[in-house]
Amino acid sequence: MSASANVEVKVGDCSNEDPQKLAAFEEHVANGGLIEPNDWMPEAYRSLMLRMAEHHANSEIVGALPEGEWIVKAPSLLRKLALTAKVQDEVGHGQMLYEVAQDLGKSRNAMLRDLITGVTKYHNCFNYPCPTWADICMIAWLIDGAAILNQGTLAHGSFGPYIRTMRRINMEEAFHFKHGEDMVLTLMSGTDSQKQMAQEAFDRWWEPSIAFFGPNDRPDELERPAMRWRMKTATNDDLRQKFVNRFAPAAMATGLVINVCTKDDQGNVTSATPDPLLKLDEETGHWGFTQPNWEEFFRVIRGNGPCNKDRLALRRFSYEQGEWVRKAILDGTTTPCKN
Amino acid sequence: MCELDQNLQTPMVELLLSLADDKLFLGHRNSDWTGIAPILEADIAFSSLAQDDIAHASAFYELIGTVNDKNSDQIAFGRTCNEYRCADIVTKSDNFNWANAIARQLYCNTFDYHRLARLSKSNWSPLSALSKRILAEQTIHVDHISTWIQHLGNGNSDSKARLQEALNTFAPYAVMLFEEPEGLQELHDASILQNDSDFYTDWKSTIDVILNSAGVTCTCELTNTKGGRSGKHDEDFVRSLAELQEVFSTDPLAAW
Ligand SMILES: [Fe+2]
Ligand SMILES: [Fe+2]
Repeated sequence: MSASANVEVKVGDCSNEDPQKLAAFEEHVANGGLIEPNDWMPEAYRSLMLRMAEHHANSEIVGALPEGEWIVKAPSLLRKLALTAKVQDEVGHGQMLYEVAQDLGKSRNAMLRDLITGVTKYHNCFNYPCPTWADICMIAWLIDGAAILNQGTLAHGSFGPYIRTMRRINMEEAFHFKHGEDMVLTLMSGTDSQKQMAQEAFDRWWEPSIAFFGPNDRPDELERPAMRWRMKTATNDDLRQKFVNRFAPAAMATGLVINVCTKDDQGNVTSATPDPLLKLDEETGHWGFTQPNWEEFFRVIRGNGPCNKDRLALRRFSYEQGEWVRKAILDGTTTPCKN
Repeated sequence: MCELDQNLQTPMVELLLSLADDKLFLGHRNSDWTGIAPILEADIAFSSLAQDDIAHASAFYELIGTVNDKNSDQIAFGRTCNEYRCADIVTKSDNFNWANAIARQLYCNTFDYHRLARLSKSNWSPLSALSKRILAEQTIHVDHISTWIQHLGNGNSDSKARLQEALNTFAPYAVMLFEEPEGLQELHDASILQNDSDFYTDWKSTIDVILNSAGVTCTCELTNTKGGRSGKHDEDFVRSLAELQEVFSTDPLAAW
């Protein structure tokens, strides 16, 4: 599972930067050139890139929590192994991304602290509940599927260390997606109660999946720094449409119904009706769909989602219970024990 | 020798279950740390150990399946509490205290190392072949956990005290690993297994060397108490088993 780069940050203008250097930088980036950590870059680029990598890293390690809780309940030896390996990969993604962010000027420890104190955020989709095994199947299929689409475009970005990390991560995400697809297909070709369990989980996860790509594009989207400096190479709405084009027919092929749902504060579905806009436009090749409930989306982002508190509490618990270990073996340095 | 006498099948299954169940539940408990271990790199490494243990368990369940004709998932997930043969140290809660996890891991990994070394000398070839293959990975586990023991023992006075306390807490459970699976003597009598040294003495000298290098100790004594190998389990095991079976048991015949 993984994160999108929709970090809302206010970047200062570049009026303090050397205009010649800035012009050369922008031309280099516009021509497809890469920026390396020791290259000259505007301060706004550095801080935006740092926050993007940090947010992404946070999302990987918080994303490990809901799935991690299900490792002990995985219903076969194969699933148990695959899920443990997947969660391990996500932690590895976090580790690699913290390295990228660290090279831009913030220590890992500072990032982990900011995460547990709520100074920084992680991807919103991890604030929803996973009450059944089928939720784990849907996360690996839909959320990892969304992450692959998003990260595929991020891998064409401008910051060298980040895009190289994206490429490595994407290979693993492809495995996660396959594993998710296989689990969903297994449920949907199983017993009636397995199918029902899958549909109920799908109802919970469809909306967070299409909201995964972030809010609707602004009219000036292409002019904003993240796009202008090629940190992002696709807009939120384009990625969302791509996702629906791919997953709506795939879901229907397995027998799943795409519903528009209402949910209570705990994220439980209170009503589900087939999406009235779901239709293939033969001319454009695009599937129509109902937009996520953006009001609810922003409420969850502000920290009032069903699971925000649980996720942060577990992260904080992990940080605190491990503090004596870090003190004993890291001794203030950042060289961790790899063995 | 590839064929196993009919009358040795039950003792062999008992022996293999004790091994596979130990590994399954140790991996089960250790996988709990995936995502929340004290250091990201340690998280990743510890998760690999957990995956190895679950994979080793799977291989032994498959071997059991060749004897009793059952499928691995049914064996691993489909028994009642008193049919499991692991020693309860593997499911003894570490209370999310890393020192406990490391102490439990040291006792179990070194025990498994010696157990597999002994089983690789079996003259039932499917067992010796599999044990030899897994012994190579088990050696890596022992090296890994020795490094951790040294990190904590030689870290600072706080980490040393925590490690010593954890070693003390888990020692009485560690000796229960030596409870013999039922019918073990029959396998010896039939020369399926050979004894050329004392299992407990071998194990104790291995951990003493490791602990010595970290300035900590383990005091323990063998007992005749009946426990996990006889199907008598404590509450921590019951809790772990309930987790393991939670989804599976909603429909044990379904594919998942
Ligand atoms: Fe993933
Ligand atoms: Fe990931």
